[in-house]
Amino acid sequence: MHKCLIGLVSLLLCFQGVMAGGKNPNRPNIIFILVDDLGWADLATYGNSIHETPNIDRLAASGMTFTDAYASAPICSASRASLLTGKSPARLGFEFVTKPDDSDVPEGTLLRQPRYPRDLPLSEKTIAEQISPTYVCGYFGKWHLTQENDRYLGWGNMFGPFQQGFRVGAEHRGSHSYGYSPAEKGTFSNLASGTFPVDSVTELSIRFLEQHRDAPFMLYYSMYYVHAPVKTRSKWLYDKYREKLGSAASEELIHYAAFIETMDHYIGQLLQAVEQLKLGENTLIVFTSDNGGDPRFSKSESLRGGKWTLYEAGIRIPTIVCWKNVIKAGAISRIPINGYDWYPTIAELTGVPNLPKCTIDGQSIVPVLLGKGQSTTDKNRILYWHFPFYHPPVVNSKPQSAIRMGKYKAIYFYEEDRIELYDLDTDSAEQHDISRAEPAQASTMKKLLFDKLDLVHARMPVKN
Amino acid sequence: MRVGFPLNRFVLLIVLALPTTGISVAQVNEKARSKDSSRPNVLFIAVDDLRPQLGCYGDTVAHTPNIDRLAKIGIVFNRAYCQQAVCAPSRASVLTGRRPDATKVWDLKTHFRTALPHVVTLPQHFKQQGYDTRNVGKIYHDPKNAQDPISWSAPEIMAVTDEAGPKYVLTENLPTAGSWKAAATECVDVPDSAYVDGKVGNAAVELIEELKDTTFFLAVGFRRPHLPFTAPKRYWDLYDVDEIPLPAHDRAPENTPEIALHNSVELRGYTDIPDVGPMSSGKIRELRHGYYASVSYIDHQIGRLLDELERQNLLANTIIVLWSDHGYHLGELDLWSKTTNFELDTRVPLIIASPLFHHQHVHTDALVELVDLYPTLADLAGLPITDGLEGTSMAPLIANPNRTWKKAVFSQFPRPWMYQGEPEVMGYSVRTADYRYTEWISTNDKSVKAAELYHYNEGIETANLVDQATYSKKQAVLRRLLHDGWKKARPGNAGKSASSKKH
Repeated sequence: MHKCLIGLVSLLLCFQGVMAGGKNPNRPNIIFILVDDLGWADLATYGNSIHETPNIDRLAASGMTFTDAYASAPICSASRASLLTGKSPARLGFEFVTKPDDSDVPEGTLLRQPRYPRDLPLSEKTIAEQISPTYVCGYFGKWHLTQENDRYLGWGNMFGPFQQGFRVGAEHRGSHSYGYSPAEKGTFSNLASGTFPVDSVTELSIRFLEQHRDAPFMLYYSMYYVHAPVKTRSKWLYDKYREKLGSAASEELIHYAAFIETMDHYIGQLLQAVEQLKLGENTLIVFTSDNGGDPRFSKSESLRGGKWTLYEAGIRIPTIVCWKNVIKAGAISRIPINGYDWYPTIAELTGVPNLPKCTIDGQSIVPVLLGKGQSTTDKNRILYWHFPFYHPPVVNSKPQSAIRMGKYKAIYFYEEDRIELYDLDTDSAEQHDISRAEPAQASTMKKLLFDKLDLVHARMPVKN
Repeated sequence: MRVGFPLNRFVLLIVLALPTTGISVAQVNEKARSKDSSRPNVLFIAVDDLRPQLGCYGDTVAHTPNIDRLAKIGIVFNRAYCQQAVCAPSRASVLTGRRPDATKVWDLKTHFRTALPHVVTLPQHFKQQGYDTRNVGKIYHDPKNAQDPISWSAPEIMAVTDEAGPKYVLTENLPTAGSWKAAATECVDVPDSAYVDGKVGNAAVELIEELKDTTFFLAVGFRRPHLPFTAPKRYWDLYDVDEIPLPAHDRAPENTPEIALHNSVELRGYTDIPDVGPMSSGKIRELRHGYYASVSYIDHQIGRLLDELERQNLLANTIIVLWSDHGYHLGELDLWSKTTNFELDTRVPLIIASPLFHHQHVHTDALVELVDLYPTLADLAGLPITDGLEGTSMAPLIANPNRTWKKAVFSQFPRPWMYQGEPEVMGYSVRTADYRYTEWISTNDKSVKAAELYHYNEGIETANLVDQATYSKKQAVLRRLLHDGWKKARPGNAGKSASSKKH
């Protein structure tokens, strides 16, 4: 698949001149589609041969697909906080999933992790707060940035979307398994073949589009799919993937595949509404994920690791951006971008004045979207990640930080004071640690990483 | 410590200060007499290789909000000139208050104490007068053996380049056995402190806090925008590379003698620059972008110093001087870097600022020289002006920026560069309001090897007009000025305030 992408990149380079002369972007609407736990290799357009995602495939064909887009954290809340603020989780001190104050910490660890993050402080100026003077901002679905609530994943009324710049929204769980009643769990509904359960998150989002089609708006469509528990209630979908995956496939893989297609279906509904409302030409659509795939279900040989780790599969995610007649259809970008880049990007497109550049980590990717490619000064741009926590379940991950600059990626493991270095140009699967072969580069990367962490006063794991 | 100075000079200063409003220079001196703690502090900021490519000098591309802020509370010298356009000779001249023919420092190796073993340097003079004098960063030339510990009340901090901090951060640019020179630019997303000037900024801020209860002369020297143009990415990002202008005059002036030019050897030592021949326009733009980025990086450090002065309530009683050791070519005249007698190399940014002056956006077109800094700062601080100085106190000019001042200013440069032993030829140059005249004089027989005459109707040298009939009268006048030298070019009566004791 990579060869195919590279071919497309070369082709794209030929078109750059044409694209650069395109329409002058001017205050578009924003639709931000955030999928939960979607892995880099889960979509057909990223090379998956099992999952059927026709709507996302169409989206990719009409916009720009990023091969090297990252989430700024390998875990939900941290990544979401970063998306909303343009700051890295390290800078925010929000590097893990939000937890109640009395949460247990892993026992017997070599290092002591920082306190769990809890609520995204109101002092943070979110992208919605930045653009709300001129945009109507709507939020639908998963928030996961507070514990001031009465139920798991609840928005509460102290640190929810309405307190962070969104004027419209609804806390529905939609058709995701989080909302199943005890009776529904473990059973199938009697949905006809080819049909899906109604998803109120999608329905309400479409209603928001209808209501605000004339005003500049930002829709934050925050799906609960394809997060665990993966349990479809569509029998026909289950059957379809059991057949595709073969008898040896686990129940989980079958349900996960069904979840992927279900997610794709809802996105299709939303995109259809965009078309019907004739919003396409004046709307930037971002499709992305909050972190890499859950390694129990999201399988890939092309990337190492998974959610909760800083190997590529934990942070590299599918990202597709569309804007009819502005972003070239079918474009592929290999420029590395990170979740915190959306904040300044949206700010630039929506005309936010005087964005505080020095206190955020993001950088506008508008030039990339317009096909201008990577500026020479971005050659040594640094992307970095900080995960000073233990996460014993599933992958037993331990405190780690990572940095990418150009083709190099380094991961630092605090317990062992050890760094791994990879050349992603030749080894995106991170199979060959070259830290010994290139000790000077390893030490430079370590220094650059710790310079960054030091600059943002990152919270560090300390000796117990 | 009580500062004494001759009554007649004090009276003169009061008279000179009359036309201005608010606290005048003279009143500063009066305070110094009555109460030691009210003597002004001096923040002496030296920037390496900085030409006046700054917002406050009219550059519309430059992002220099902090230097511009400084300019707003001071006086901007539109026409300030160094005495020799390369680091060590210029700095030796400024810090001793003598010209290169007195310091005998024309190269990068000689220490001024070889020729002037007992000279009292500018900071040393302040130290002798009771000031706490400190040095952070590059003030004297930057090898260890170029330092002058007696100038300072405490050991220098980060004055020696190799020990101070890195020029580069990327592995590919780290020093090899052959040379420390790697790429001419570096743009990496690092904090300010990844390079030496961020560290100098940090140390200077700490030092201001430490010195806040003393009367201090704090010298802070920044190394950028000297090559390599390595500045954190965020300063590069202040500029759109497409908006970086290419050099407006990128050819050597017509009819200019070879001896006046050079082959940009300093730049060509960097690994990404060809040893000979032209550079691509992309590389030229990258270098110019890097220079702008480096300037903004330094501007930010200067802003931190101003903020700290403000935070410590010291701004109102501190005189701040910003200067550069010389100017710079960025492809203009087909030249890169310094080491000529041309306008872009000899002209420097110079700002002297203090709330004490009550200046707002004041610029002066008066011709001044960096060698004037020593007597000026001594004068402004109410210290005696010592014998042997070869500059003129600018205090009267600061009090009245529109007054008539020097007729001409002087620079020089030896050839070959770099020479071994003694220079074969010295190019002596005089600059008036509109013209420059230069003679390249053989050290051995004093014969004139070449001469140049430029008319600055386009602000830069376009053609050497020497020996053209139309300019023969002009040339004779300028030749006379050059040979009469700096003493005769001084302002009529005002010069006395600076040098009355010398005669």
